[in-house]
Amino acid sequence: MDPTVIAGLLLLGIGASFLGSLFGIGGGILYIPFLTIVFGLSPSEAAAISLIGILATSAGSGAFYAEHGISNVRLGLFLEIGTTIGAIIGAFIAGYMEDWILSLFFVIFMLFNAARMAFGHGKDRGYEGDTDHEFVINDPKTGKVYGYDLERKVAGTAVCVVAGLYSSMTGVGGGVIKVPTMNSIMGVPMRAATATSSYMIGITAFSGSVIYLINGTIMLDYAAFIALGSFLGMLLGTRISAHLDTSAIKKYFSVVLLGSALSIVLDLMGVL
Amino acid sequence: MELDRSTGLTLRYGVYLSMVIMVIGLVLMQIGADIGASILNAGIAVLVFTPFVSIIVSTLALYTERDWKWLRVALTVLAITACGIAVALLT
Repeated sequence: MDPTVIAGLLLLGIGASFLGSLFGIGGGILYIPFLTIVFGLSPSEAAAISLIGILATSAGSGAFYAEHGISNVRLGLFLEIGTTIGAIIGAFIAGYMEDWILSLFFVIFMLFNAARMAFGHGKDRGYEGDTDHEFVINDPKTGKVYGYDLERKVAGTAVCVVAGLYSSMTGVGGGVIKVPTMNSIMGVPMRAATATSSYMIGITAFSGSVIYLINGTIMLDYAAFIALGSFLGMLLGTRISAHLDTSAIKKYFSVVLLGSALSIVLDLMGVL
Repeated sequence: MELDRSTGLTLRYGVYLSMVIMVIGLVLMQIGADIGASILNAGIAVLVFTPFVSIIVSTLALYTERDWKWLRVALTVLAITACGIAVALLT
């Protein structure tokens, strides 16, 4: 393989995963534009490779949060019932969808992501200091303990099916759907929601990518370098994110996402 | 071992193992050994299946904790993902 392509893939993996770990996103929204526009892959080729990348990031960061008791594995598994159903269906039907439709879905997802990063902020959920609830989280950043219960489980599951569909069809992690669902709809504190989302994305990405793997639609050498870069970026990102206040950077980053979405639209229209 | 920790450790070791295998595969490919490509692909497969193995570990942990309510949840996810794999293999 051409060394410049190798270097490019490694850098993309490191960069996307690093920023993803920092901002609590999977990195898919960064992989896809670069893989399609810079590396010239089709949306479905890019999606399959992106899923491998975010799987590496998610499994790595999810491991950290789970080991420290911040991820709620029970909650993650529960919501993954819906998400995996969506992811499996998505992986099968993606092969029948035109490229431009997949790109369009992705652009919509990016805009949603940009809006969330610019304007969204988590709702305060959970009962501080009250452990007499279904779940308890010990927030290591503030040292506070929160108890919380799961609300609206059916609605949460339904939204997660959509998140799973999106994940397999476009190659994104879907955290930007899952986190608000857990936080706003289901009453989960933000910290637990983001950590649980990190854990969940690995399972969702597995559900989609295993089908692509079996069907042979993954460009394995590309995927390998993205995975390696992604692993390194995740190591960097998770270590730094503990010390950084990312709320200000997030707002500027949403502008980057907007520009990225625009470049895809221009590419779709044949302008780029 | 309790659920969250065992799940996390499975994910961590799975990812690390896959990276080691992939690097070995790449190095072998560089020096011209044919088996390198197969080893690289094996590494990717290990990475892809790591979350699946973590579900199995979670199921076992829930069983040992006698947490039947959530054990049913884990088994459901396991069944769904297994079905997905089966359908992909059959089509």
